[in-house]
Amino acid sequence: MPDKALAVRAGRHLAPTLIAAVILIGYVFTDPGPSGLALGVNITVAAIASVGLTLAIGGAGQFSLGQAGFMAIGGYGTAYLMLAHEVQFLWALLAAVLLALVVGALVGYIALRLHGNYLAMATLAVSSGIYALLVLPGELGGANGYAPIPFPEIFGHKFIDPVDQYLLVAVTLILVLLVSNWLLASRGGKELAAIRDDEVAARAVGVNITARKVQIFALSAVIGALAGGVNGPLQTAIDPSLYSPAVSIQMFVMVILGGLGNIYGAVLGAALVTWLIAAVPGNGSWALTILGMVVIAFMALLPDGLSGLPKLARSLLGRLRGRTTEGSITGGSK
Amino acid sequence: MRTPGTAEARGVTQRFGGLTAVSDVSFSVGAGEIHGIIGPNGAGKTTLLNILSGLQRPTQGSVVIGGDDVTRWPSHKLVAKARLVRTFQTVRLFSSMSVHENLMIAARIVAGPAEARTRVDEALDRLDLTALAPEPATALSYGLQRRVELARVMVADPAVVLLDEPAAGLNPQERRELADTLHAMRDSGVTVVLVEHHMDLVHAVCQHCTVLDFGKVISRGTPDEVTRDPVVLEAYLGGKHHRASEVDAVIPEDLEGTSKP
Repeated sequence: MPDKALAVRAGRHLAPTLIAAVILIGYVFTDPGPSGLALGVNITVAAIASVGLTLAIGGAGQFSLGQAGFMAIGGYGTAYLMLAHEVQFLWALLAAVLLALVVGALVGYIALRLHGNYLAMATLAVSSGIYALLVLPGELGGANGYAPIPFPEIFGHKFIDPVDQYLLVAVTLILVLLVSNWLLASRGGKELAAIRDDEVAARAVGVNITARKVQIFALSAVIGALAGGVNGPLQTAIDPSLYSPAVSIQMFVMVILGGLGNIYGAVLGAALVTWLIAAVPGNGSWALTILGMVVIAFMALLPDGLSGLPKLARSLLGRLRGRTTEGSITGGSK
Repeated sequence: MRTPGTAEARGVTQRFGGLTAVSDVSFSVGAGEIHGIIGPNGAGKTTLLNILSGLQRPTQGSVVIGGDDVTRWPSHKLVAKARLVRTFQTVRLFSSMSVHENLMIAARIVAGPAEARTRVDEALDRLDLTALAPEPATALSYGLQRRVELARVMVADPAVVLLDEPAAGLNPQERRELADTLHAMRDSGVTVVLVEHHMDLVHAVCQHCTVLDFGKVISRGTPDEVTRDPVVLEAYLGGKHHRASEVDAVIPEDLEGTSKP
């Protein structure tokens, strides 16, 4: 009986990932064209990074504003190893991700002493520091960027076709969603939620706060680096502006719009923000203005973010139904 | 020497800047004993409990649990190895979780998944919470939340339990139930350190008491002895030469009917 219950629970957890997978892969069959696929890649890469950020922010209540820094480690790390040392794509990606793991763990140690706004500022500082290093002239090209990065190649298959490129990031996102799902449902995920709910109580029941915080920051950084590392070689050229502190804040906005802690919400948030930046004319600056208004509107009207839409719909339906059947006597306070 | 279930403070001092919250406090609790820590507001009781539970490092002195010097142990090690768990003055349940999940977090620290589930079911049953297991923990009434907190303590299979004013906010009926639960804990060999203002509960369950005032130990003994100690009377009432009967007037005894140890 417990096995069956477990299977049902796992199924319920997996259903949204399956839906996401169908939509992500299905996009290819809607004949999006090269520009559509490029937008798809941008959205999916942002979604990967913001899912990673969601684990830290929503999963454990750790406010981080440094995700672009970890994307930079992934992007530049992978690109540098492939271009300067002719390392195979997967090995280069692995090395860059491991570097992000170490840096993320270090940030996790900082997080042990800082909370809320102070932690957010510290992580923003780390990400700004990485950005500043990349802008410095040197082997990585400084502000001019780094190129030409070879296309990624896995088991002899070169990802040159836009469809292939899109599928590469889409599959990466699906894997990241699966892992994140599993993590949040695991004992470790529950302990992270306990830390988010009440850190002192979590300590008192015996949760190892130090280990959990360092782990979640490391994992969040790894997923950020994965997003940067998969995307870098697809772009053939990267420059520091892809990883500026503004990008970190965009990531944060994606997580907020998604509902602070829902990984699927983060994917929707990434889609909305990335699409706005691409669709609104004015080189992104108007998009940011609109984004600011969207955030304010969300805070006021939909505090649970995009992941709160089903609940809102239910409550609206319930209210409508309540009005028609119960009249005003009970006040619909059911 | 390892002596399971004993708890000891040795010369514990805690200074916060110029303030000495706890000053050279020593006491020892035998295995399976319920020990009361009482004293007026601001006497340093909670600070002492924070030190005993590893949430705070004392400026001086040491804490010995089960024969091990645990002064520098992190709290997760205290739970896992010394089997020491605590509650807080205010209820601190995990707000995003059900009653069952709240208990599972604590149970999984010390047991595998299957055993943890058994323990959670047992604790829910013992505290009459089984029907409420799937409910969101913080949606329950205050008294029930207190009970969930006690259940969360039990599932950790503790050797030593520190309770910070567990009777606060409970009605007399709930206090009687709490006393019964504490007796049951003691009977199963658990050592309890109880910080409490409700003297009825202290009289009903404690074998020994340590009385703190301004961070210092001012008296120790059985509950009857300390409530008759002139020094204690002075600390509570402010003046000199009060008689025991006056203290009983200040500190109500409405726990008649609860069995004394």
